[in-house]
Amino acid sequence: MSLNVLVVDDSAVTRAVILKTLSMAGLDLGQTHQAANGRLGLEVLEKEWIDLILVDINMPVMNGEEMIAAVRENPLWADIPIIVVSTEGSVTRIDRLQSNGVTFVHKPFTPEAICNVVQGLTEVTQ
Amino acid sequence: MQPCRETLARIAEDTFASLAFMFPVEPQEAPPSAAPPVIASVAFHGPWRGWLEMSLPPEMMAPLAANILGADDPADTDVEKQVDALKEVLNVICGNLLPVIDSPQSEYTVAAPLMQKADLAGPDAAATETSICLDSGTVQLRLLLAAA
Repeated sequence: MSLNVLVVDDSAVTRAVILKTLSMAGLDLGQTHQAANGRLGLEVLEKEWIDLILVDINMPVMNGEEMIAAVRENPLWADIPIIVVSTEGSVTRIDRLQSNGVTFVHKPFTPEAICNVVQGLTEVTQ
Repeated sequence: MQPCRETLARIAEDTFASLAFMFPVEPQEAPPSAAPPVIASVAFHGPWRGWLEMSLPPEMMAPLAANILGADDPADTDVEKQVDALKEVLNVICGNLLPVIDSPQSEYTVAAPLMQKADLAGPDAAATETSICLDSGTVQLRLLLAAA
């Protein structure tokens, strides 16, 4: 099954690196979408079927924590796997995010870290 | 809050190495630059507030973006990508620095990096400065801190 992926990060370079990492890992990617903040990410979710979200925390307009809360509150989106890709170092905030059912990948990340987490969440094999 | 030059330098070196494949060298081995540096800074607030400022030679900008993006030729990266890459490196350094110099339990909000010098006024403001020598140039870092 191909994965429709949404990458939300205010850095276009980071979005490109994440998508390139997923592509080079041999994952069966379907449509890929990008957004520069949580608000724009929610707009993508309203229009597109998304199987997996990768999201940063510190972003302008709407941060990742706010976006994750909105996703989890919407019955249509509540079960979408979410991976937080962030420099976040506060164990308090990371614990809060993980209690909301998200997986955390720390920046700077290795391609293997992203791929292992995605494969674990989606049960996709290379 | 326990900022120190060695911690700032170590985290910056680790970030450049893992994110951009730019590695520490001895000072005499870092390529010199006579050009005015490119300056970026990022503000943060939480239990403490402050800025982290980074200055680097303009010659580093294209290789920095190319290395992060995995581009074969640095000339393939435009100025927009170069600026975005610099901001991302600064953001990663700042995000990794805060839980080390403060408690890992503390929560900070890190603003979007800006292409400008840091500005933190106040009688309690303190600065920590260091530089790191990389195989692509010398990078200056300045951490400004004040009580929130």
